[in-house]
Amino acid sequence: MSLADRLQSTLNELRSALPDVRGCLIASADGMLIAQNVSSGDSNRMAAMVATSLGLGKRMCEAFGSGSLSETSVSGDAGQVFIYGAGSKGVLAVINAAGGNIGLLHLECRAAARKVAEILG
Amino acid sequence: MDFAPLKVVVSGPVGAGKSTYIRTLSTTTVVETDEMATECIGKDLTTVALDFGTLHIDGFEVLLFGTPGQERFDFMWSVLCEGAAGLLLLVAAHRPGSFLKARHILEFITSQVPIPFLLAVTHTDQERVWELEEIADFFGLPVTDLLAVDARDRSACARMLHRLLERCLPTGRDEQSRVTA
Ligand SMILES: Nc1nc2c(ncn2[C@@H]2O[C@H](COP(=O)(O)OP(=O)(O)OP(=O)(O)O)[C@@H](O)[C@H]2O)c(=O)[nH]1
Ligand SMILES: [Mg+2]
Repeated sequence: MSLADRLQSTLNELRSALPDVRGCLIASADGMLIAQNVSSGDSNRMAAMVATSLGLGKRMCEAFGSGSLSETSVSGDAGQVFIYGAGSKGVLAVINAAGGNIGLLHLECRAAARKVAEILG
Repeated sequence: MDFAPLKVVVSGPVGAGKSTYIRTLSTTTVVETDEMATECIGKDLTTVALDFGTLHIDGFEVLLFGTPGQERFDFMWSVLCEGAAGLLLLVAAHRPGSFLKARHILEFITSQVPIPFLLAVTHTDQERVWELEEIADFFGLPVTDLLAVDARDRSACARMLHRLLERCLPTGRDEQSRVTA
């Protein structure tokens, strides 16, 4: 399987494991879209925003003495975006509708982020 | 007499020297958010969120906010421009291909916040560069709006900022304090 295929199937598996999730994507640390499974919206733009958030989060962790960043999130009244570092090169973002089992979501997503990190090398 | 810090935004296309400019001038540890560039952009790293640095100049505390240069991060322009007193638009003299993007950034920011600006022309020491007059023509600006600056040269960077502050505070510091007194 090609790298792209492996990343795509990681996202597809994540979505079947979390049916309430509205989408997920993988971007490079500099904001280029690598793979996506999102139902609506401009995924290129989302990829850039996710990288901005992760990049800032990394520096916040440094500045606040919180070690190296593992994840960050943004919440609104209609849902959340969870952003996971995936190695030094990538980032996984998951768009969640309000509600749902956040504990399960984190469990699945952290495992997926580790897989993405491994694939990206 | 205390003055509120002045916020200055440093923007411009990829590789113009925004991060370098802020690193050169800041007297406090800069917040920089550079990441490995996936594409070939003539350097290894590229800014994904912002650069932030501070310094004191002309009796003012200046907060420098740098934007990313890649267009996909254009949503950061309006975020970073809120409350800004002035704008430095950096353009690389040897990259005419980026001038249109630079003009787009300038128009976007000044339409959001009509603030004084200066065009900082970097990389004038490189080969096959555009002259200041030619660049001024391209932007439809008087050549007095442009200044050549090497983003690695501290005194040149400070001079540039000084010139911008003159535009931000045309009445000067004393006048202003009298007005607000
Ligand atoms: N020769 C020369 N090099 C310069 C000059 N000004 C800046 N540089 C170099 O040009 C490069 C600019 O890189 P950055 O400061 O990362 O550029 P940037 O505008 O922040 O780029 P992005 O964040 O990717 O948009 C650095 O390697 C600087 O050392 C100049 O006047 N002459
Ligand atoms: Mg930069």
